[in-house]
Amino acid sequence: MMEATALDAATARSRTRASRRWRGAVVGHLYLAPAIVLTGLFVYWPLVASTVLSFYDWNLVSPMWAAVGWQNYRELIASRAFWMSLVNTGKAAAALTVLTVGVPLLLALAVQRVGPRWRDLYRVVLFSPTVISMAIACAVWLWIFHPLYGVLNTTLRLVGLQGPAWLSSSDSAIWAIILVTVWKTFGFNFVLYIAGLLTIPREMYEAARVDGASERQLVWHVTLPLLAPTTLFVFLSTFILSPQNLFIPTQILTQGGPNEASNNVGYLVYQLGFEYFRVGYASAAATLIFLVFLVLTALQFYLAERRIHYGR
Amino acid sequence: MRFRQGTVLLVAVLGLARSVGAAEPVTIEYWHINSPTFGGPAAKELVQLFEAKHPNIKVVEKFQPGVYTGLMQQLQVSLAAKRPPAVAQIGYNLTAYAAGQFPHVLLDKYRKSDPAFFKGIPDNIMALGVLGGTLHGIPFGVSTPVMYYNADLFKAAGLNADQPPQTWDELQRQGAIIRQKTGKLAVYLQQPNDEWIDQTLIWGNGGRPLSEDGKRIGWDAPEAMEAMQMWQDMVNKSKIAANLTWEEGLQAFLSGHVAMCLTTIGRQEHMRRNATGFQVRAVPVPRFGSKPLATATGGNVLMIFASDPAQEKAAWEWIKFVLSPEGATIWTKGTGYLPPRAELANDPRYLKPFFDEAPLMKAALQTFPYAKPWVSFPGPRGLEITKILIKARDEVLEGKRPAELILKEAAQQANALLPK
Amino acid sequence: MGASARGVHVLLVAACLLVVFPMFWMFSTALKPPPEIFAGTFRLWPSAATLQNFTTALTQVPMLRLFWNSLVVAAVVTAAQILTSALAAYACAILRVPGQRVWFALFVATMMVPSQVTMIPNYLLIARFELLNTYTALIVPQVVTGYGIFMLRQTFKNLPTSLVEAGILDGASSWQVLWRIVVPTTRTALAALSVLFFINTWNQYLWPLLVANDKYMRTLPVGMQEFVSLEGGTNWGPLMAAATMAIVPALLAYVVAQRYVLESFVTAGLKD
Repeated sequence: MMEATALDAATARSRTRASRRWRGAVVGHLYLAPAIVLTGLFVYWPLVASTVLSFYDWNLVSPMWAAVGWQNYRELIASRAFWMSLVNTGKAAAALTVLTVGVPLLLALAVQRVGPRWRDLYRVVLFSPTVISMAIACAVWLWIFHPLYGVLNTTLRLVGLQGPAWLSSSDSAIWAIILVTVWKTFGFNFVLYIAGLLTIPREMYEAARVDGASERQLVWHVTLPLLAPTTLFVFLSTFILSPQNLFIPTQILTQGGPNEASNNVGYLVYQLGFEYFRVGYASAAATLIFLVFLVLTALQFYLAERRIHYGR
Repeated sequence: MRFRQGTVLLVAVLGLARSVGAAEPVTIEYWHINSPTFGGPAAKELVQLFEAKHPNIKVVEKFQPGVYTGLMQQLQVSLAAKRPPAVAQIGYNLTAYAAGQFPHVLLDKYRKSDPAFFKGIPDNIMALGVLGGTLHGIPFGVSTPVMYYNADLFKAAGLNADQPPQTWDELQRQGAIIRQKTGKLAVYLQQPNDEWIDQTLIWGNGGRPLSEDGKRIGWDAPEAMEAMQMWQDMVNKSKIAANLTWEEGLQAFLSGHVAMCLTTIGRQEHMRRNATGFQVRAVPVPRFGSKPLATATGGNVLMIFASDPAQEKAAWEWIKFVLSPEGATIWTKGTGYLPPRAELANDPRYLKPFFDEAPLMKAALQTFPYAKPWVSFPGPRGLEITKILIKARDEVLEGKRPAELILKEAAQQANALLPK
Repeated sequence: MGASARGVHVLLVAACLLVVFPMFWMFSTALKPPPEIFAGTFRLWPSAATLQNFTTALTQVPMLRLFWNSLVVAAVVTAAQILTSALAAYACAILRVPGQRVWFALFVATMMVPSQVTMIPNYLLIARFELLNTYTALIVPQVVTGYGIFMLRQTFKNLPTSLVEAGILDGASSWQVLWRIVVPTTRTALAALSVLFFINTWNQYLWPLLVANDKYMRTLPVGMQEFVSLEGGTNWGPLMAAATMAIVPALLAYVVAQRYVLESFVTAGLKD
């Protein structure tokens, strides 16, 4: 209890009894309780169980399971599928981050500048891909990607280019998946940016205009800095969720093929556990991937927080 | 006194009758892959008729998405939770895995108790459910690959639509003409997430997908390499074959962009209904020169996963019913799968009218006697072997390396995963 | 000013066209009679638009029941996720509970756990408690989301401290500050998050497939799979029709949230 009050050194006037009670650790933990309990039960318990499982060779069903020590991990590190998946996920995460962090921001800014009636329409239309289920989206994109008469290649042919066999060619398969994922998920960030933009007080703009700022300076010096927390969240969440988002397109369009060309970590875990039924091996992959993302995210968080503090 | 004794006696007798199993209602789950346009209504009809005949058995039929692989996934999870369905359709290529790794009922004992049932199912068909000398499942769906073709495209190329190619050499010759005269691709061999057509090619060229002793993959045998090289050349050299995913390839055929399509007879209804503006016909798949026709057999076995004796008994009754002449007729009409009881096809009471009206089915009937098993790879890593072979096929068709190299590598990896 | 406004419109229209084409394709396929769906020539609009696919979809699967299931689950999960996220974010960002950074890190880390890892153990848990094929199974395991906690903590942290301090000085309890000050101020973010949660849950497939596979307990995405069969051929027309119908509630949720947020801004003055 005393510790909590010590944290309030900066706000000296709140050293009232009410404040102490207010910021008490017990009360605080009550607010955290539902999240802690449910996360523990439905996420961390399975994660722990899965990590334990990664030291076994089991298919969930057979009454025989063998403890294999680090073998699953060794096999994973030696497997081409694993490295291809990591590389592809890296490519995809980079592309997704650029395209679904930058582009929605641009569009949100653009939408803000048009008249109110147009604004509604644009927002709904631009958001619409997000609304349909990923599985259906992939089914539709299958038509679009068709090498012989799909829209993409037909359009390319009109300008004299020969489009690849998007899903059957090892050079283009991962990009096809990235394209579908970008199309489907940019709407999430779009909405968040719009919400962020709406919370910037008009007075800020007024004040800057009074100071003689041009439109571009307004955006650069008022909008973007005030949007920074949203941008940070969008950036990190897009990065973290990229494996999840890649999964369904991979499952429906290419199943990781041809020859691992489009395999990625989200699909790999599924493949190992649900296609090969090697649950122990899949768990090893999942644990490794979790650790990799944990480290990368912590790093980004740390760098980002530093920049924000120095920026201010 | 006498009244009470009589009542006690009556109750005892009734109790006895119940324990003998006559009146105890049993509910079993039947898992299948029959969507509404692929045998779904047939499955429902079978359930209705069965329940009418067996009032104390209730069958809950459940469609599982994702075809046989999807069903296996659900099955695995349900087995882990100890709530498997009583009976389920297991694709042939997954049978070895299910038989080896999932607890299920062995069916040889029924040969003695129900000999009449087993008569009428040809041995080569029943063998599809036998692994290592034991009967693990009853073959239910039996399909063969056939070659659908676009009669109109043939005519447009100046070819005789009544004489489509019967051998691969013929196909390449006619295919080149089609390509030249119409600009359309000549043929598509299905490229799904399994190696059914690959096995068909290997069997057709005289090879074996798996050695007799189950210790060597047949993909690096000369016959297999020759067949796959041919496929690679058709895609990359003569450019008469399409390299597309399964759904893409079928769509291309249905929209008239590809003249011939090698895929399962199970699709015949879909082909008939969706072919736009041209006449679909079908013939058996091409042979390799003078070698006999040989194809891998697709479809599924019915396996029993129930652990409760009453459920097992009910499941067996269900299996007997759906494979009876009456049941098999409904099933075949609804799916386009062939009836395991071959003679039904010629029986006017059962399937003769259907086959007469479904000309596409004739191709499958002609192939039937030459059906070879769809070899499913034994051991706990069998499913990965399938994946290795699919990856090899994809790489072969991309054409960046010669087929021989790719197949040798794949065979080496696959052999390492086979049980010693 | 005029030229740049037009430039903005051009950009937006171009984006819209790119984005909306697949949706349009889906809708037009839903209206095409079967023979036209596979037509070789590229047809943007059916020559003979028909509602036949819609009636097929409605009769072949119990669409209304699936709709209802999806609706119940999505609504309850959304409310629950907003609630738990807000509570946890509040504790971390405003109450600044000791150790909040650790808890926060743990919550965010859940986003990195592949869903396949959590699915099976959760399924086994549900099965053991005989809760398969119930709304509970569909709802409860998803009630907490790291995404929500992450986002709301960012939002809450960004609130001017004066706001909260004013509340404390007035003698409000933490609960009152949350509901009377913090939530109303951040309702834009909350609305946006609600929409995203709703849509996410509405479109979910893997988990409902596992735990609610009974015909009448399925959700919409699972039920729609009945039209898909790689073996016998996918029934594209009814599938697209079902998909079109499935969009409606999700789109509606977005439109309503957008309206609500905008209107509340217009009436309350841009920022309160």
